[in-house]
Amino acid sequence: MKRKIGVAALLGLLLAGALTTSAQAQCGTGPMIIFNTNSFAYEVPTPVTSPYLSPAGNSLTVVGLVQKFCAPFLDLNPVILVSGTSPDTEFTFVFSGLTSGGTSTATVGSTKIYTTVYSSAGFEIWRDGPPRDAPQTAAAMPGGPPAGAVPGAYKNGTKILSGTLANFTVQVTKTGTNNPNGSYRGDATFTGGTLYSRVQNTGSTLVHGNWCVFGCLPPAGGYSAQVDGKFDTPATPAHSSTWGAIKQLYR
Amino acid sequence: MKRKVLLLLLTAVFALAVPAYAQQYELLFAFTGFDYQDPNSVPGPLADHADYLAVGEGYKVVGFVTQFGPLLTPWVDPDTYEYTNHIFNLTVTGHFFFGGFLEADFADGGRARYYRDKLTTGTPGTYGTFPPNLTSPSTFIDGGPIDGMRLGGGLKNATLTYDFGLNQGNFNSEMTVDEGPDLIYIPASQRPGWTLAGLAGRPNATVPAGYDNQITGDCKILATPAAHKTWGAVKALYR
Repeated sequence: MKRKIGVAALLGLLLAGALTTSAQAQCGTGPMIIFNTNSFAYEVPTPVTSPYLSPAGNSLTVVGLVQKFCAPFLDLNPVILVSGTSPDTEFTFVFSGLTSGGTSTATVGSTKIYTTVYSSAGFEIWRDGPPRDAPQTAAAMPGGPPAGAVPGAYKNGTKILSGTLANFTVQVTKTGTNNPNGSYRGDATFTGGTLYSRVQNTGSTLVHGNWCVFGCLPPAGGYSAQVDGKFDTPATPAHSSTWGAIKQLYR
Repeated sequence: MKRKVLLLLLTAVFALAVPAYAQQYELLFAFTGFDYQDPNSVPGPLADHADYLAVGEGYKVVGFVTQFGPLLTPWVDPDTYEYTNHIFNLTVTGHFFFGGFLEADFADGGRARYYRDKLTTGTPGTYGTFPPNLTSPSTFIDGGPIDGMRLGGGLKNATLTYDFGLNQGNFNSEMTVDEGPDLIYIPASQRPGWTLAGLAGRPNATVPAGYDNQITGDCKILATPAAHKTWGAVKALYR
């Protein structure tokens, strides 16, 4: 009987794999969780000044929407619509508790470099709705965060994943007369959430992406960056096991 | 009379420009992928900046489109098609390195495109190793005569900065969309003025051998901060 259940489970997994071909095709290799570009950063208590000067001691928060899940979360579909009126479930993420060590500056060639290292902190990924309540566009972001739906609407529903962020670094550069642009990079380690078992014992993985600081911020004001990016697939396998243990599952 | 003609012209220019420079940014598309050097005339370990984006070397990106903005969303179908992107024809003209930090400048003339290929009958984008290879960029720039390249544009003022100490950097370029069947969905006033930008990062076990960085980026029109001026100041411009 157990063997039949095991075979049925395997067939089910294969079918699920077939149904998720579309999502996998857009993932390629590397990404595990891809962010929507309508994701934004803000700092308190002192505003970040242009192009990116973060006072030491400031607290950085990033709130955003998940655009796409890749393996091992291919069964989750954010189905984000531009209109923001979809009744579907929303997936949101929050980085919080990142304390600025202050911004250092340097110049190389025609490039000015602004580097900010933040203290270790945490992240959370939530599943919520319907209906969706997190802002879906830059225009919908409330001014002067924390305010209105920020960050509350990004931290409600079911916490599917959580963890720690270390070595979180933002580097903004301005080359010649080009607009400034930046990137961020941190080491994420999963530690909890209802779907933690899928990434348990994977070690740390990279969370990183573009950090836009000019011409991309919510018009209501109070934000320091528009963020895209992703959690990468951890380098270590999701589960360490033996053939004996796997066979035991179906006996 | 001349002043009236000038004012009419300015009004027309502003009317055309308004959709392109709204108060919030507008996304065209976002992508992830990997970059590589081709031609790579100075091969070597990436830890040494002298081997990375030397003057005369080429820069290319292949990857997948992960999100479309409001102009394109009604016209794309990720359930039916795989959408891939390709950045190419970028040649390094400047290489400045100091204190572990690199600034690489590129000649104008690079291009960025996205393609579509049927999920059921097409060829999935496959990175392989040490590009160009049998699958890259070929499986990212295919789709047949009906599908294939859907939208492309020219790049200028492209730069890539990279901090070898932090293992992170970013690229930034201006883009004018000017080709492909999906160009009809972009109003003429919004074809210039896009910014193509993103992260360039390494090392990471997910970067296939022979590629340099993983890339996460987007193409968007940036908002222009509202200028606060008096009527007197505005009128003074035309006196």
